[in-house]
Parts: sequence; structure tokens; C-alpha cells
Amino acid sequence: MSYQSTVPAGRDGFAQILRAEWTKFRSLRSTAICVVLMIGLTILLTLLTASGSGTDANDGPHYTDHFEFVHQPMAGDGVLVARVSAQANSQGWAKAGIIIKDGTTAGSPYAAALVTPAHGVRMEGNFSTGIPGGDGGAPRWLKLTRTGQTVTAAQSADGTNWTPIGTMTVRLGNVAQVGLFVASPANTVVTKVAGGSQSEDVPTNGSATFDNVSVQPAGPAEWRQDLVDRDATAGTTVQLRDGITVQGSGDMSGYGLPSFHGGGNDDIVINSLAGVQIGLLAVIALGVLFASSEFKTGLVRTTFAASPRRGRVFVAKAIVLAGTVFVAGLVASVASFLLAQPRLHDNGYVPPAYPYLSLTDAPVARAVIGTALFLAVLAVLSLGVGTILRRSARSIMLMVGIVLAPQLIGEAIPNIDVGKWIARLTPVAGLAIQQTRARFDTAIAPWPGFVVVCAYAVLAMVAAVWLVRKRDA
Amino acid sequence: MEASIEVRNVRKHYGRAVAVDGLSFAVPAGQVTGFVGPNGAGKSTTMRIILGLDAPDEGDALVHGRRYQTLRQPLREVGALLDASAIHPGRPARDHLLWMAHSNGLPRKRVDAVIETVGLGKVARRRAGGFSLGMRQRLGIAGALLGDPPVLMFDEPVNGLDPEGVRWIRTFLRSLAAEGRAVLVSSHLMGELQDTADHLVVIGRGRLIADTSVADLLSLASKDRVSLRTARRAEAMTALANEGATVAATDRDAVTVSGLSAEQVVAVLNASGVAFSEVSPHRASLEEAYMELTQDSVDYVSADLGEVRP
Repeated sequence: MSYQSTVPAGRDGFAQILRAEWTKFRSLRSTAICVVLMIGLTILLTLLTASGSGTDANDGPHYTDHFEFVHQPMAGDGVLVARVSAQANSQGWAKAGIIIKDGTTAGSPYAAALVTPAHGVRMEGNFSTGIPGGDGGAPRWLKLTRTGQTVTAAQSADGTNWTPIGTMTVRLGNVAQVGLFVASPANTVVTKVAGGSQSEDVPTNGSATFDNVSVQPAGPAEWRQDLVDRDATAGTTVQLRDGITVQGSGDMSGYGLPSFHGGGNDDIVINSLAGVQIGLLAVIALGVLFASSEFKTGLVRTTFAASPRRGRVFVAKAIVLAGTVFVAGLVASVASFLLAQPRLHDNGYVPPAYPYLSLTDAPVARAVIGTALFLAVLAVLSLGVGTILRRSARSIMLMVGIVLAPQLIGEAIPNIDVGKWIARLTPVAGLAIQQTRARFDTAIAPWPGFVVVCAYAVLAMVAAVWLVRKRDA
Repeated sequence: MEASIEVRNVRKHYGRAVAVDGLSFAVPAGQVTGFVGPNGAGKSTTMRIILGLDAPDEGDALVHGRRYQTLRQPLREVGALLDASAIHPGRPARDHLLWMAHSNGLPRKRVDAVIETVGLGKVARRRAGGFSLGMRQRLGIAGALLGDPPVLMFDEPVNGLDPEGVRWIRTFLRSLAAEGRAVLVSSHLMGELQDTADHLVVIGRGRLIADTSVADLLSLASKDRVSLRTARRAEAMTALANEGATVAATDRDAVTVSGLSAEQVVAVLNASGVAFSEVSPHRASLEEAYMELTQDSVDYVSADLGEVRP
């Protein structure tokens, strides 16, 4: 007279466990509290950060114009050719080449063909436009051709076979100054000081050697050498000869050119998502509690009696948690970004130093969606830690410690490299996903940083699943 | 017929303490099997091992011939209430049952059905943390019944229940067995099982002490004993002890005598001039039988039984 269950046999797959874990998750008030807290804290702190920020990047001139110029006047159309036979590697963006410029006043329009030690041959002009002209540097033949307001640049390895680089329009008067130039931008050196770091520009000295200089139609026999700068200096007369060496520092650059050292070095995408640093604490609590509450209450015995395949249960938990946190994180990051923009604009973060940003810009989209992904992965890591330790308080303490460690240790140890390595090796490396600007304190690139936090989460989950299968419930 | 639950030579230790020591027994269908032993005897450990929650060091526990871990929809095979407090206090009772139902693909209407069965209809949407122990027991029983399983296990189910609840659960356990299910109920108080269990598995210090029907156990414990009721208890006990009987005081005016027949007791009392109101063959309570069985296996004996020997 053995009894048979009258309940029809349903499905017993992973979807059922997923649904069960979702029911568990959504039916707790603490879940809703953590999610609301995460979104609220993130937005609030982002707004506070954005409101308290400020920049003077747009106050200064929007260009740099400081270089050594060996020149003579050229009236109307003409062609300038020279060979850079050698260039010292004083800085990756050191520039040596030929230039046609509307006078020697700083800020006047120009077009140049140039070589660099690390970034190939280029045509640049008007402090805003750069055209790559192939890899390699000195020795290199360079040619500029003026036709009215149009200047064309070309380069050659041998002075016979020329490859065009590009053409640009330059507002030149009838008489322009043409000749050789050398510049070498300053290096940014970062030093750790109490409570942070400071960057300092250390000038570099460039040097290049020229030969085969020719101007068509031929100009005066006399050449002059001037330091082009905001403060005009009286130049000197020089004797142009093959093998002339010109030395100079500085740069001719502006917004739009990669060598530009603008005042605007803030990553305003990170600043628009700053509140996540506090919001993630709620995510840690959510992830840890979803695991540790099972053990604290003994609920885990009911769970494993209902679903003896324990590994699946915790994988289902991770999926439910990650999905929820991703959606909530996306709400938080999109709202933070959109709400922060007007405040940042009010505080001076406007073009040209800070171009307007849109969610549809690829780096912005990556940072905003990536923030939600980071939070989801951090939640899974917290779940794993909560499962391994089985206690809420110590798991949360450990996770908060891991998240705060880079900042705390960075403050304590006055060495920027130590700080960078800690930022690379701890789970907060995942926040690199928010970077849209390489800065002096950048520790790790966006996607590699994200991989670091994912690796932590995977390791924690593997250990957690192994332990729940091995341990008595 | 295959036993519903079969425990075979199970051994389990935690650290240096041996919780279960070579335990074997079987739970048949259609009966309430009482699982009795003092606190710490290994009852809960055994039940956790049956549910696959703890892994035995040796031996195995089978449900319908299979290890629990291999069951695909275990709630349809075994329902268990191990610990009424093993719920999340923040989760409403109905949601607790709902996730359990989802995990085994059971229909949602089963949740409402078991809530009605255990009488939690009015509080089903309240958080379980606010429940009394009795209400939690009912919620745990509801969880055990979700899959309408042929095997049920309850660990100390009457703990915390009011007298009405105790009566309810006894009737309920009997009705479950009457439907042909196997029911295993643990208790550290034998008296609780007196009117409920058909069969008893008695353990102490992790070992099997008795595996017997309730009727057999009672007759064994009652054997050759006589109950005596008298206002002059002390004199009666002295007189009987002098005749070689073993005498135990069970109440202010009651004595249990072994070693003499009822006729001999009457003769001795008459000869000593001790008046008495009743002499009858002794009917042992299950509690007494249990005490006799477990005397050697309880870790701490709180009080002696007041026996007087010559």
C-alpha cells in the first residue's frame, strides 16, 4: 500500500532552480533596500562630486606655440624642400621639419611637415589638424607646396619618389615665413605628495640636423633664427648650410592634436560616474547577504533538500544576482551620467577643453554600460565570498577592505608605482572600464581592468561551489 | 516490499565526537515510526544524512532504494521538517513555499493547498520572522507536504505547539500513515509518541537500542510487575523489600513492585497489617519503558529512580 504523490511531475531543469532563486531574491525587503540604496547613493554622490568640481582649462589659450624657427620670407606661391638627416629622441612627440607660417607671431596660422621620434611622419597645421603620413622618422625628405591659401605636404625617403601626406587650408598673407623648425614638448613628471600626487612639466630639449634646404622661387640669401613665443624675441641672423643643427623645446599644438598638453586633463566620464564608488558598497551587501543569510538562518538545508545539486543552486544565485545588479546598475550609471552633465557644463567643463559628451559616444557607452557590468561582477564576487565565509559581517568587512585598499594603501605609501600595482591587482581594477582618457595616474586599461575583476569573481565562485558540494549543510 | 527509508550501518563523526555509530534501521510505508533517543543521541544527524545534507563517513541512507542526492524532484519523494527556524525571517511565508515549489517544478496551486492544510491561510503573506514557534512548525510542515510525498520526516514536530496544536499534529501524522505513507517522527520524549507511533526506533549515543513495535515494548516493560496503592507507603515498601521484592515509589501513595506476584503482595501486606486500596498488574507507560532502555545510554542522569533494594 505504498503511496504515490498526486502532484504531477513537472520539469526539473536549471530553469526551475533559477526561478526558485529569483523568487527567493525578490521576496526579501533587504533586496529592494540594497537596490534602491545603490541607485540613490550613486546618483547623489555623483551629483555632489559634479557640483563641487571645477576647471580653468578653457581660461588659458587653446594652443601652444613655442619653437625654434630658422626662416626667410616667401611671397606668394612656392615650394619648400628640406631633408631632416637626424633627430634626437628627446621626447616621443618631439617635432622637426619644415613649416610655412603667417609670420613669427605666436598663434599665427601655419602648416608643417614634420618627423617625430615615436609617432612617424605627419602633416600638422593651425594648432588643430594632424594628418599621419606613415611610420618612421629621420632621415626623411619633406616638401611643402603653397598654392594660394592651400598647402600640400609630401614626404620621401630619397628626395626623388614623393608620397603625398595631405593638404590643408591656411590663412596666409601674401608674404609668409618659410623654413626649418625644432620643438620638443615637456614631460609630465608625477610625484607623490602627502594626500595625493602632483604633476609637473619638465622641459625637454630637441635637436635635429637638416640639409638639402631649397626654396622655390629662391628667396633672399639671408636666413634668420627666432624663438617663436608669446613674448617675441629679437632673432639673430644665421648662415644656412648643409648639416645645420637646430635646437629647441616646446610645441606647436592645440586641441585636436595628440601632442597637446591642454589644461583639461580631467576624465569627466569618470567624474560623471563617481558615485559608483559609494554605490558599490550596497552591491557588496546585496551579494554577501544573498549567500550568507542562507547559512545564518539554516535555510540552506531547506534549499539543498529541495535541490540536492548544490553547485547549480549557487550558479543560479549568481545569475539572478548579476542580472538584477546589472539592470539596477545601468539605471544608476545612465542617470548619474545624464544628471551630471549640466552641472559639469556649469562648472566650466565645456569645449574646446572638454567636448560635449553623449551616451552614444563609443567610449562613453563603454564606460556607462561597463559600470553596470562591473557592479554585476562585483556582486558575484561578494556572493562567492559570502558563500566561502558563510558569515555576513566578516564577508562584508573583507569585501569593503578589498575595495578600499587601493585608496588607503595609496595614501600611506608615497610611491606611485606601488599604488598603481595595487590598483591593477585588486578587484577595483574593474573600475578602469570607466576611463576615457589616459592620465598620468592611469593604472590599467579599461578592458584588462575588467578582466581582473572577472577573474576574481570566477575564482571565488569556483571555490564557493567546490566548498558547498564538499561541506555538510 | 522495499522499505521507504533504509539506513544501513551509518557512521558519522564531527571532530572527535561520534554522532552516529553504525546505525541501521528501516522505515516501512503505512506506519508512523517513532525515532526516539535522548538529546544528542544522533537523531537529527541521522535525518540530515537521509536528506543528503551531511555525508556519512560510512554506510548509506536510501530513500526507495536510492540515495537522496540522486533524486531529481526530491520534494515529490520526501518531505521533511528538520528545523522550523531554518527560514529567512524577512521572507513572507507564502514566498518561502513558492520558491520551494518552483525549485521542483511543482504547480503554484500546491502552495495554496498546503497553506490551507496547515491552517496558515490568514498569515501567509506575513513575514515568517514574526511567526511564533508553533506557526513556524506549521510552515515547515507545509513545506514538507508541498510535493505530496510518500515519505515524510519530522524532527521534534510538537516542540512549541500548544495543546490544540499537539492534538492536531498527532491526528495529522496518523492520517498521513493511514494514506499509506511512511512517516518518521523524532522525539526525545517517548510520551509524546505513545498514542501516535506504531513502531519505535530507539537510539542512544548514536547506536541502535531497540527497533520494535510499541505493543511489544510496552509488554516487555510491564512484565511481572505489580502496582500498589496505599496510604502507608513506607511501611508497605519495607515489608515487601524484606520479602525479597524490588520496590519503587512512583507517587506519594503508589509503589511498583517486581519480584513478587500480585497474590504474594496481597499476602505480605495482610501479614504485616498494612492497609491498601489497590493491587493490580502494572501497565508500564512508554516513558518508563524508554527510561529502562536508555538508562545506560544517556550522557547525564539527572535523578535516580528512587529504588529501594534489600
